[in-house]
Amino acid sequence: MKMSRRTLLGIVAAAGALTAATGLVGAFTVGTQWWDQPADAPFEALELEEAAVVRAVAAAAFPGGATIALGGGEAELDRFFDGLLLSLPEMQRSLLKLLLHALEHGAILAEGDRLSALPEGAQRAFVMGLLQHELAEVRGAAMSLVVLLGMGYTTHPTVAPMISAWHRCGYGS
Amino acid sequence: MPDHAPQSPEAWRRAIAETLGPCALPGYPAPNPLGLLQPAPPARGFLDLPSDSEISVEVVIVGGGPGGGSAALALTQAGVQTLLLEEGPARSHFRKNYAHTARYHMQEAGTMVARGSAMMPIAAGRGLGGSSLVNSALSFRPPRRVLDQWAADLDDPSLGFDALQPLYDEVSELVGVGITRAEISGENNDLIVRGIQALGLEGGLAPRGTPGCIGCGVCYFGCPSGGKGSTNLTYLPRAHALGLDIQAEVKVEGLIVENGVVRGVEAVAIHPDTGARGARLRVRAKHVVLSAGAVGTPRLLWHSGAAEALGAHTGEHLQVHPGSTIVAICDHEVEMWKGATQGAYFHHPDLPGVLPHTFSAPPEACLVAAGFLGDRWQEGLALLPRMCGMLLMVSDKGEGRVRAFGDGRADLVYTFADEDVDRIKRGLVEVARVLQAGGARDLYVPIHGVQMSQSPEALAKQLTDRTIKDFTLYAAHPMGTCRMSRDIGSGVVDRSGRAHGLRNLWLADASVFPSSLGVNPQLSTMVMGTRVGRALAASG
Repeated sequence: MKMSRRTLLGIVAAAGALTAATGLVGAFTVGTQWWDQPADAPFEALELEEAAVVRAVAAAAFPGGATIALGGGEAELDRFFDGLLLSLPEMQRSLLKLLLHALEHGAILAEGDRLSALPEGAQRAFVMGLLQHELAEVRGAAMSLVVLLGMGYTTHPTVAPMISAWHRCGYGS
Repeated sequence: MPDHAPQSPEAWRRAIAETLGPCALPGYPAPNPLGLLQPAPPARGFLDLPSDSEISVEVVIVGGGPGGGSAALALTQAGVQTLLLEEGPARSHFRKNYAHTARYHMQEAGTMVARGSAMMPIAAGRGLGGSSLVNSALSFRPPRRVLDQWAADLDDPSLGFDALQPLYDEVSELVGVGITRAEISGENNDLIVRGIQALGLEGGLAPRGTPGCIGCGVCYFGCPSGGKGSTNLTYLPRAHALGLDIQAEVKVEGLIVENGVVRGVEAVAIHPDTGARGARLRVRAKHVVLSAGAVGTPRLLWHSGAAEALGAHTGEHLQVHPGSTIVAICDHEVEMWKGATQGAYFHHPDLPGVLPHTFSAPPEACLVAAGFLGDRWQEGLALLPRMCGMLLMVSDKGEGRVRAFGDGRADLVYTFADEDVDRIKRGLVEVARVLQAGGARDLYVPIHGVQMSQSPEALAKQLTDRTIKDFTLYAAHPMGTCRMSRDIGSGVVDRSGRAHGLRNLWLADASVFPSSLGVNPQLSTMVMGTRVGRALAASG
């Protein structure tokens, strides 16, 4: 997928803003439990293909394991991101959705298939490759998305109590 | 809790216990030992503005942070009828996550990013208390060379180091500045102090305006114990007792300017939860004081169309104290989130204008900064208890500018100076020395192309070829965008904070600093706000 430098910078600005941001997350999380929705509930801002990309990135960045068993791919972060997008201005929402499409189709060049269709190891290699990319704009966009999803992951009710063990005055609603 | 600080130690303990649960450890000293902190004052909100209205006052202040709050106290002490308008919520909120903080207590929900040399998020607080709600309350005084240069540049001895000390004393007493107490410092700070002592550097536990701190370690979320000397618990209640009127949940979008004279402001009510726009409020005033911060004030001036009358320096000279961070792993448990959030610092004789101090951030941010993602995520989670951190900031030579997008959001650009990048690199190496001298082992920096280092020398070698685009950046000290000057040819306001280009307009926040401070700006912002308020009151 080809993307102009101007568009790329726009995406970075939108995503980079969210690194510091996420008041927007609050707008959603205060009123809704994003982690507790029926599996077949429709998304409001995400397309199904985009939700799959979100799950793939979350799974790649935050795999489950010995310390916290719940991996990012199972933490309903597509629901979290859907709520986030809903609260964004149209321009930022469009740019972030464009970023998801760029990730999905960029993987074809790097790994031979769409990101959401890749096996777990290849998904992780692709996402980690973006986080170490030579272009600062690419790194920035990928890192911003990961940080944002990390904020959702660490407030998931399965994860938050474990994080709270170390960060005793934080996490949870 | 407690926006309304309880009055008795026992009531305070109960409130802390309700808020923090297991965090409210027995044996901590009672907050507010000197009675410095007072309940936050009542403020009107969105629902108190059911329809469009117009009022008249003597002075209207835009912004309820350290600058606006201190100006408000100075004005009300002089008997001036004053109304303070604040965009943020009428009552501060504390919840245990950053998403909530950003939503309620960060300007533009924390989404401001400067472009230019590199993408750099820039943070600024909002709400009654402004940035003092969400900072660590580090309360350094600027060095002599900075203030004496201000005095020389403005030909005003009252801005010099010695002349300003009584005002710094006054402000420090009001917000309860004291050296971080050892019993609440925590190992993240203690480790740094050990390193400083081992290397014989100047520094130690830092001065903070937190008279009731119990060491929760979450200042960046807001203060859960109500023990911080934030503006909502110090300046605003005192000003309110003297007659200050407060209307929160309104965003000022324009200035009323008639024939070169500012006659008031135009605002709109903003619902704190939904962001919905409500009734319009028109305030006519003899004087207008802008205290929306070094981003918010010039952004408003540009958005309202008033900037051009104020001269070519409006929104220019943005400085931010840029810097970087080291997250290090120790062999022993540090528990970064127990103790004062940022409570230690040092100076290095070869690095004037560089201020290294404690770093703390939410766990996921620390893990991302250190690169513990993907295959290393679980390893990073397991290492969280042994993580410590230190950051540094530089008194910048680089500059940027603030404008407004068409929709009113801040449009920010910042260009790094090569000298600053060099000082950040050299500072990181000294920070590495201190951390390792204090007991840390593996060193991680959020810089592309730099791997974990096990010695300061190895880190220095890796940093050599890195450019600013390799750094993951963040800045929280915007200043200087409407600087004081002798005339409109070199700045925006005179040495008392009065605008050169528009009559009856005053500025009282970090935007008026003539240059980069080199230290955390809260205390100096309060000093400037007090000066401006007193000058305005004396102007008749």
